[in-house]
Amino acid sequence: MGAQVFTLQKGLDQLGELRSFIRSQLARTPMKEEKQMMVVLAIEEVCANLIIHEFKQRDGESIVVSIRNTDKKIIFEIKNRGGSFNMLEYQEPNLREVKASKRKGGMGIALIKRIIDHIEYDISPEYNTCRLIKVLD
Amino acid sequence: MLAIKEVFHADYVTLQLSGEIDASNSVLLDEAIKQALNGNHERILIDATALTYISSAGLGVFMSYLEVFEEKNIHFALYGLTPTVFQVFQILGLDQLLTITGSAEEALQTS
Repeated sequence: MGAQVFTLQKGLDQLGELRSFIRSQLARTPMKEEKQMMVVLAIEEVCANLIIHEFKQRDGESIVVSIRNTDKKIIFEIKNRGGSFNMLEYQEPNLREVKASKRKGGMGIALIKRIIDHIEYDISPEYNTCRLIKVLD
Repeated sequence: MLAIKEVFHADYVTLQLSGEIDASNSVLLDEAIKQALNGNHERILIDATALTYISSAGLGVFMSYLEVFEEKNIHFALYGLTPTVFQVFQILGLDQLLTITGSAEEALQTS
């Protein structure tokens, strides 16, 4: 299928709409239903992370999520202007330390890395692109 | 959309969750747990039977209270998770840190 696109402009309140969009697109692929929910979760985590860290710093920020698939994989591209956060350099937190520190954050990226098969970044002056690839069974 | 209903029993409270928890509404779960803590209950149960989705924001809320529950000697357990919601806990190994059971009866027996 050609790339399908969803734009996030309203912040966290739009996460439900984002999930509906991804679910509807994944339903057209051969991906098993139980895996679909995990992939929806991973894409939402990337976007929520960008909204929390980037939207506060710039007015009019937006995130563009596109989905396309081949016979063997589904490719998600998440584009934003401004800052980027490279998940590939992120060290997973130790759960015992998270518990002891009583903090609420820090587990989203661990989820993404466990669900998605391959993560790439393209950083340019115009856009930052995070590409997440899920291989179809 | 997330809805939380508090159900009070003799010596414990159950928070019945329905809908989806994400970063836009996890503060509601945080407030509900804080409120339950203020009620000085010996046990706090989470009924997740009607919870259809949870992101790391929701997991983070549960994690942030585990130490407090231990300090205050409060028994905390979740029950009735759908297989997909349970899988989210399992991916990160949180099923090893939290008490998760199939039913309310089992959750009470683990205390």
